[in-house]
Amino acid sequence: MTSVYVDNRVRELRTELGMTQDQLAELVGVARQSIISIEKGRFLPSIETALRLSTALHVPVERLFWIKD
Amino acid sequence: MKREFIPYYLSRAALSAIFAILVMGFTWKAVLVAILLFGLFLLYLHSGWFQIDPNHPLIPLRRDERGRQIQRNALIAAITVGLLIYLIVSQASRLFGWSLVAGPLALSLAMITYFIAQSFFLREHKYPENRQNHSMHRWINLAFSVPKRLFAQVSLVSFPDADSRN
Repeated sequence: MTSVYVDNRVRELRTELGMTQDQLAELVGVARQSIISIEKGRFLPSIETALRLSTALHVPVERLFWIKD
Repeated sequence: MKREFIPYYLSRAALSAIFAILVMGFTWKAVLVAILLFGLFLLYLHSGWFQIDPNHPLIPLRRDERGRQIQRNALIAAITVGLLIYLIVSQASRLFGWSLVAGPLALSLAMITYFIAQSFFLREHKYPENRQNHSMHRWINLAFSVPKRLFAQVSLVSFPDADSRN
């Protein structure tokens, strides 16, 4: 069995937009700690949350998350 | 302190005071219990562990998907610990003639396990299935995978994280 590691650029895009973790959490509808965990790659969000994140950060979801080899 | 959460603060302060008085009576210990409880309510609101719903200032705390996942893991840990304690204590009592009551002991330890596990996962925000590189988390993941698979079989509910990531 293999473990898949998904990387993301949530933090990078959020800071580019000048958004705080609190603001992003409110936009996406999750807790602030979830944003922290997602940014650190410690929590893999559901498709719904990933799509909400991509909408909030104005990028396609595939630019936000990708499978790391 | 935020103005929009004043209903939350007032209601939780009242709840803390009522609970403390009911448990401790009108003593100085009741003041300590009330302060402790109110502190926990404040912590829960401002910790960032929960999603905040400003439309419901009296009950603003919501669990998001990560929170629900943590709650589920904590529940599985609690049930596993409770069952193990019950089996061990009941068998040990029978074999060695101990006068321990397995049921209440298992229930108490299961409840304590639930709250400790939940606090641990919420605070650490790095729970087993997403942290496979770290050796400690590998062990935690392994420990979780067995009861998760067992519960998935028993309850006929699939646990994607247990099935796909291990």
